[in-house]
Amino acid sequence: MRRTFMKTGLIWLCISAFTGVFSIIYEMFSHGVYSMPMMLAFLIPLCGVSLPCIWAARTGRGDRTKRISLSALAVWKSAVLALLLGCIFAGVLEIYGTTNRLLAVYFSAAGVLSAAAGVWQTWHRQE
Amino acid sequence: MKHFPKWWTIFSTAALLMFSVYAIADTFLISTVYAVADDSASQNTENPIATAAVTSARTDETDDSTLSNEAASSITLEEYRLDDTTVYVAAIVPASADALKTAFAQNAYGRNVKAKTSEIAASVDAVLAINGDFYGARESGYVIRNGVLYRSTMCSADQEDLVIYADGTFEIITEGEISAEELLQNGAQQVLCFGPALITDGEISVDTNDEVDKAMADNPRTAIGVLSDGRLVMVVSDGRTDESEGLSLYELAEFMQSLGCVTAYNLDGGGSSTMVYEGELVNNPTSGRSIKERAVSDIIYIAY
Repeated sequence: MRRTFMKTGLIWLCISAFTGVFSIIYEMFSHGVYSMPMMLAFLIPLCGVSLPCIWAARTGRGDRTKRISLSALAVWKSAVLALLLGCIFAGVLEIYGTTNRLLAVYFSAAGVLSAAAGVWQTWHRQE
Repeated sequence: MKHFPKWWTIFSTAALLMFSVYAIADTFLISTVYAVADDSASQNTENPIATAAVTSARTDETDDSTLSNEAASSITLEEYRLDDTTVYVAAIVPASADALKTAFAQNAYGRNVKAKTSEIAASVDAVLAINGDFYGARESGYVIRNGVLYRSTMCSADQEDLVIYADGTFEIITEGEISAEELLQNGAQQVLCFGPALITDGEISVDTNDEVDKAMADNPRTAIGVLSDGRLVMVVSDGRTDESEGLSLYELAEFMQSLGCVTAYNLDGGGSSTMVYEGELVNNPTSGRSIKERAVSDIIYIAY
């Protein structure tokens, strides 16, 4: 389990780094128009998945990872990905100076998925 | 349940990525026509809304900005150099109050319905044209063109719009204070939703920190203004190049004031900023990192 969590943490660390580089390059070509959701998007995978997974895999006397449902984690990662894509899309819209009603879908999906992950994890711990 | 995490990850990631592709396409590529522009609508006595627009068109006002019907519109083009920026000014003595018109790309109102300013200008036989407010990039904000109401959803209560009435007078309104239907009843022929207002009652109405959304200070700009005697000015500045830096909103407002504008309004700028005269590009529009025209939703023009 620790190994699985470490692997997940490192994969999402790469996603975070890629998001950061993507944001920097996108901002370079945006003629000085900036977007906070775009600039801070890299923090979402970093704080949402990468650091918690690495922390769970490396620290503590007992194996913390055994308390976590892998299914709940998978749903949680989907919620984080929805939020990440939503923030990048919000940044693209802001920089272009446009709007799109579909943006709300990302944040709604992130909310529903994170709630589902929370319920799943609670159910897992009670078992 | 053992394989759920793996399959869920594959399924949800694919679903989110496919949705993202659709969302991007919906934003930038998929054209949706909501209405075909009917230029005769404002003359159509069977259209009650358009009729109201014509008959209530501020016929009681006789101030200095009211235009008279004389010969053909006179247009003078001048080039200025201001703050390391090239600025193009078209000064217009309109032949009549309705000399100033607007046109949609592909003669259609919709989302992602776009064409270059020069192409739209050619399609309506315009002698002079500038880009408009790029209404198609937003899903809200009033759109009234040539006396026809196309969109009445408010962008925000403090959104400043430019209203051009049938007698040629300009007015700056905020969308929170009046509805699009009321503007039409009051005789609005054109309502442009971008902004902000640069000059109101002869005074600069932006400060040095004002900007359009998150844009940086220096940019290509497009603006339109009216002088106290009813003459019009269309202004486009180059920007984002080594030869021409671009203007801040405040610099543009100061320039419009120096031209004598009593009312002036900022239109869509950046890569959209384009002026076309007799079929030729006047300025150097920037699209990405190259000099070329960007497709836009609409133009403001003077016809032959």
